Amino acid sequence: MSDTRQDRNLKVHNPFRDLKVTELIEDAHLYRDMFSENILIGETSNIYLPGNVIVLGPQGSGKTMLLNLTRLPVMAEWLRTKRAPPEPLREVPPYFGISINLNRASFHSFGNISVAKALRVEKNPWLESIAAADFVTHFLFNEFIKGIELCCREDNDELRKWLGFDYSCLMDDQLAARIAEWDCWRGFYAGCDTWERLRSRCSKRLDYWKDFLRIKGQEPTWLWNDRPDIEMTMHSLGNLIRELGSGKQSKEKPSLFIYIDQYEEIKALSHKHSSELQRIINTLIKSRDPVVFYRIGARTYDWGTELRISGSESRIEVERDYSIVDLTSILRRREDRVGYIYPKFAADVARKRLERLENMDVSIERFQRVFGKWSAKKESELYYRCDNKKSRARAEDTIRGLPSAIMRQIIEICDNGEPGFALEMRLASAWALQKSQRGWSEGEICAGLSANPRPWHKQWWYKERKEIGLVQLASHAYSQRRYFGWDTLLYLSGGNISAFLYLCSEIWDTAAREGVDPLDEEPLDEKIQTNGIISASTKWQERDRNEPEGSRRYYAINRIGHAIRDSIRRDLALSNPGHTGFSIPKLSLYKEGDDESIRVRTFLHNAVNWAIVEERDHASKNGDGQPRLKYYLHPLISPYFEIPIKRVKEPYYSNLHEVYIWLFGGDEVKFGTDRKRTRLRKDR
Amino acid sequence: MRLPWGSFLDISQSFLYDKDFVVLGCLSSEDRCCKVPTVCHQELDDHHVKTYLLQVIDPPNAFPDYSVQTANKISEIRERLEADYVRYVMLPTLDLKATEDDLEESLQDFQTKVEELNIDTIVFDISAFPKRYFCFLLLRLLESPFPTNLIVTYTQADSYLREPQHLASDLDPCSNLPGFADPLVRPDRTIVISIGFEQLNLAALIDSFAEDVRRTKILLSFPPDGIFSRRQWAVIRHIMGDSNISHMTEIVPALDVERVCTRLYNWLDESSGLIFAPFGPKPHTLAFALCAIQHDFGLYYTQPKAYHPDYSSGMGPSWAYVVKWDGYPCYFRNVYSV
Amino acid sequence: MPVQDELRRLVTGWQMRAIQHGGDDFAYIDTLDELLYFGECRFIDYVQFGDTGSFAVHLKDWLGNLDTEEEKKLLFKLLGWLTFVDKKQMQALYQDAFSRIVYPWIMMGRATRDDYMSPRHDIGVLERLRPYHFLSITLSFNLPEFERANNLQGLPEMRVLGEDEEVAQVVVQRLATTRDHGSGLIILEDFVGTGNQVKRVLSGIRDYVNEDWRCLFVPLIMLQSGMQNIEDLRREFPSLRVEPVLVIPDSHCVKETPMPDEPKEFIHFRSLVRNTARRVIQPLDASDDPPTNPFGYEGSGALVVTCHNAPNNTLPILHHHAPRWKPLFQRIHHARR
Repeated sequence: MSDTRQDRNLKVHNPFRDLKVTELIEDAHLYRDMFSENILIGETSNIYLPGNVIVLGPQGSGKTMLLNLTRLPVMAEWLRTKRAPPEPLREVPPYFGISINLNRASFHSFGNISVAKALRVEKNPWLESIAAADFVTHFLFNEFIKGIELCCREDNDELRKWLGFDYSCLMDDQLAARIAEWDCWRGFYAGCDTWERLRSRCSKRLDYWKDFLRIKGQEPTWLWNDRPDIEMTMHSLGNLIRELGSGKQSKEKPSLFIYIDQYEEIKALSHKHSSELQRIINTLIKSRDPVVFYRIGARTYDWGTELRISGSESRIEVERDYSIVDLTSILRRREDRVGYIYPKFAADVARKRLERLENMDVSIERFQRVFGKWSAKKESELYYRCDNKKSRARAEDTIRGLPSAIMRQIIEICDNGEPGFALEMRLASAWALQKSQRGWSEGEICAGLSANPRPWHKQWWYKERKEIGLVQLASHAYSQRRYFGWDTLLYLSGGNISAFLYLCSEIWDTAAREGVDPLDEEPLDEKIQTNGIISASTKWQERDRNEPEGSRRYYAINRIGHAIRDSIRRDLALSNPGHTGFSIPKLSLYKEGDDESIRVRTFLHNAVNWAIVEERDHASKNGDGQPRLKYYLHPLISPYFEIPIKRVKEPYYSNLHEVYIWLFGGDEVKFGTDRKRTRLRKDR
Repeated sequence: MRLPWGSFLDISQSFLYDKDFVVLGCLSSEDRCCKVPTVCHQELDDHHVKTYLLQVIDPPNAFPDYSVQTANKISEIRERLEADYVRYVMLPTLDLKATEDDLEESLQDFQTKVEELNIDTIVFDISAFPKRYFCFLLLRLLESPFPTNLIVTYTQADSYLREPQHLASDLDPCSNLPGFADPLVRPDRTIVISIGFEQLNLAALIDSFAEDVRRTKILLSFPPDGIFSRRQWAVIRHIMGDSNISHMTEIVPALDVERVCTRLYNWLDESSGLIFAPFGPKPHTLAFALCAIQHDFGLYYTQPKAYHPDYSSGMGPSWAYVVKWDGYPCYFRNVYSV
Repeated sequence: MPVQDELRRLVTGWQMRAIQHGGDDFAYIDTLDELLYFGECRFIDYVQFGDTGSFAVHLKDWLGNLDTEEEKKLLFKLLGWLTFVDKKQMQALYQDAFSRIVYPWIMMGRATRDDYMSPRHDIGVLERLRPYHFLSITLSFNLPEFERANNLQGLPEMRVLGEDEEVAQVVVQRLATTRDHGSGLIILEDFVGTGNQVKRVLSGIRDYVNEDWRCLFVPLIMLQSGMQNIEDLRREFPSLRVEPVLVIPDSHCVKETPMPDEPKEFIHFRSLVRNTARRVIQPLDASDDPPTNPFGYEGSGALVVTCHNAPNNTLPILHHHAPRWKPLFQRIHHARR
């Protein structure tokens, strides 16, 4: 440990605060240092193999981080310093990766500024499409030229070796002259016999489009004849890359990868023409070019709304034209935990930050020890301490609502001076309340309480209710719920690497305020962890407000979140521990032409996209056999609303109309058992 | 650059005394939208002034839905204009998210009307225009031969909506303002951000220029008062964290467009180009737009879809900026150095 | 432990207890973070901090003036209302004063359209300015900085009128009776509180200015409570135009009696000022010129500090060094002869 750690203002040195994931992109050195190779296994490695790939996942799941490695400048940096590609990619054929950020390139403006109008002809979507395609073609060609120039840099010999490129071939102006003569250009680059001239002519065309987007371009009359065929052009570029990779065996010849970024923003920014613009991209994917492969990163539900190609009703098809890498399913915890790579990935990302920014060699295990282990008993002790008389007396408040004989028995059985006694009392009383509600007599309940093993210790009964019991204990104790432990951190981040880094950053900041260095503590005080986590939860909720459609989400989620919290607090019998989420029949959510269905579906999809809500398939247990989908608030905003983070048992079975009212109505939301209790009282 | 500016009355006395002119303004829920038209009709010679007002409506899916309150406030303002005998012509209403073509069509329609009147001077009141509108209209009015003379006016508000309420919400993804695209990635540029009351997802905008930008400059405004200053600094901390970035910040008076332009030219000398993020007061945005028009730079923004009907209240002083005269945009007028 | 960490520990405790007991939703931790941030990038401009330690050290000592947590918290909350004018903001005030007030006043009615559009415009402005005499009321106005901020070259040397009206009269008389007596006066001042001093000095010179002179007075920062004196001045001295750059409203000042629209916290600040009055205004030593009113000069109650100094209108609780009171932004005063 460096001597200077003691003296520094710790707040300034938060290794998780300094960089956001996206900031790494600007600096390929940093990217290389921070990139965790743990994620490059299994399905995600498809991103680096030939074939068209769509990477899906909510905001912050790491799509950009993964896709960035398909870009030549990033791979070049990797090879320059590490002299080899990342370990999991060493057997992968090389690729020459270029990219376009559609938003940055103002792609959405095509159509908003009409080419037909500039040409003084009737409005024609086809014209707008070919203009947009022309722009993209020349843009990508410009990126291609820049990529060749990068390969020509003297210090990029490893890159050339990896691609199988021969330096002297790249520099040859004859190559430029050959490119200029390609049929796909329809003569646009005729006479450009040097790389310099190619670049200059390409810049002219791009400058034309820039002027056009600034409403000062001249009439693009050349568009009738002089526009390149985008598919043919990309194919020609791909073939050229293959040819240049002559240093490689046939199976390992390089392909051309084209990364199309910000595809999903087209729809938000171009209401009238987004479909036509998306179809241009779809057409490229449909071509299933053997030497050119496209990568698109999109939020979970931003892909699939428009799958047609340009000028036809034909659609691109998954598995045929492209494959999907779904980060949600890859990184999400599954019940069997097989193939659950996220914990190692998250820990590795954290460790690399500490290594790079703090100049510290911190093992994954050491980092995990900072947070310690969570246990229900430990948490229970934070609300009511077994070695404190007053605390034990106050804990008896948690067993209200029962006849005094039952209460006495619970106290006798559970208040044994052992850690976790309060949770025992809460669970025992919940069990007793449940039985009481089912009509058991006092004697039967007392007998049941005394059974060995204790009925509330039954594996699933305990597991499903311990967290909600703890939430209630915290509430009874007028205490903030406490969050701590490595596993808790993983749960809270919900498989989202940005959420994980957010949590670490806030915990580090909170520790700094207390004058504590987290790496000196094993474990870090749970109060510090709690305060950091609460802060991260609040900020995660707030940051979404500024995202597209965030205002609406914020309003609706606040209504639902508070309703879930109230429902849980009141469920003293713990009858419905799973009512921290809700489910809807799938059919009703996807009803064609139904306004409520469209609005609810759109909202939930957006909420999933922006990592505010999680969605899973739900096998209904109510006997109707209907497929359902279940929804939970993202775990990271659970602390904000003081609701359990773990999903257990059955969610609240809702329906489309009810959810519609929650999201778009103005009345108070009644969630789960609250409503049922209201109904029971009314029936009497 | 030579950009005469000052109080609207002073500038109009020097520049408009012998001119017929047209006022182009925006009818909105902000009280200050009627100040310049009212002053023109009441204090300048009414016979030589014609006023055109455009109403911009929030998109139908904007959230929260302020359409009813906004419509009520606009009715009150129309009544006020009528009570003050301000005659005006309403231009066709446009959606906030109107495309460049829609904006162009509306502008051409307006220009045709004004040309028919044989008037070559426009007083363009940007007080209540959304940025995506006034920057586009400014671009077109500056670059086309008509009008010969263009004066931009801006009226300060008495006060703005206080926290925790939001002035505007329901943001679009970041993108270029219409007419101000700069689609090509060129390294070694400087991003210049003017800071306002709210951060409006400025962080996402900065992220999207990660590859272009070598340095960042942050422009704050002062006066007015300390509370406004604190809100600006809160925005800075939100996007830049707690590192000391005072070396990146510059403070220019809120109304001094010419001085902002001078700073921009200095920064331009130090880099290969500028990228603008105009989140601050409108006069600063005006300066950014002038520089962007002159040098073909991009203006980028995260456009809110919903504007609070009480965004601002009251009317403060009005200011005027002579951005074009005798057919010359201000940035083509040279000044000898002192 | 670094002093920032000590402060964080203190304030975190306040926040935790506030959450536990409820009823106090003030963001103590966020406010401290903000203050420490300002301490590094803005308050560092405060000239008097020089060698006397960082803002964090001063803050810790200042909060240490009081014993109870409640009082410390109240003192701390007061800083949420502080207007600190840092160096760059000061420069912006100089520039605004010139561009928005002085320059139009010079040009008004005396410049044609062609003058405005001329490439020689900046040179012309200086030529128009040169016949005017630039003065400040006190030494605290940084005239050279004003010139630099506005790129004003070749102007006559700037003078100080002084706080004594007789001295001011002599200065003006001399200017008025020189062969080339110029076109008028442009008087600047950094801070005007009640306006009593300014009214006295400027009324005093009224009879010494030339009949054909134009006179302009531009205070950079002024308290709203001084506006009455300014109105009186305008009546008594009709050829003097008065235009403040920035006016601090009464509702932003903690006065002895509540102001309309003042924030609800000010009632508590008022009590705090009263409770600490005796300690705060005690003279430090023989050379001290202590405030006589715990609410500042003439009860102004200002919460303003500039990078140069804290005005005497500002609450002494912020700036006065007493035997049993450490200031946060110590004021440098000038002893009267």
